[in-house]
Amino acid sequence: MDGTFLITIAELVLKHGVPTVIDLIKTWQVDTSNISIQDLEDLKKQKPKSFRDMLDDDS
Amino acid sequence: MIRRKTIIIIAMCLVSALLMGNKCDRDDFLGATYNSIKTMDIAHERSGQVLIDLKKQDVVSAEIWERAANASDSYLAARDVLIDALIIYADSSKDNEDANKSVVTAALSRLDVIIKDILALVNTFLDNPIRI
Repeated sequence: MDGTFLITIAELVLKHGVPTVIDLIKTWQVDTSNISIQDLEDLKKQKPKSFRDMLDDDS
Repeated sequence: MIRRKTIIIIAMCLVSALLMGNKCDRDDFLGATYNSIKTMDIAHERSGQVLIDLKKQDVVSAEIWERAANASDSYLAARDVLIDALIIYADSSKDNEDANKSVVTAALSRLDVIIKDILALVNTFLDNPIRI
């Protein structure tokens, strides 16, 4: 993070106000919903098909 | 003038505080990585569909198809490695959390490189490139 970035943010605050900028910053946040080990194991089971399998299914 | 400077300083403090607050803890990191995998899976599937359509139209040569299919196999293998590393990380004690996080980060980078290679290949045939 450099000074230019902070100055840009400061300019946005001056131009659009604090609430707008906070809303903007919030959109940068990732989904922080709790991911359990079960979710990860489920994700592993939901393995996508390989391109070859997709082609076989398609033909 | 003083007022403007004060506002700028306050804004900088605000942004710094928000950014610090966003610093990833374990849940955030797990959530972000989980979402990345989901996003890359979508890109992988979409790429496969596009390539199969192009293959049917004989736009894609057998050589290109083989390259893409091999990349897809690599993607799936790297995905397994990443999820295994993520499960170990999720179950980490405080002592080995950082080391396990590094393993996840490396595995995520590997998956990212593979999916970007696949997209680069597919996008050469598309007017509207697939992006992640």
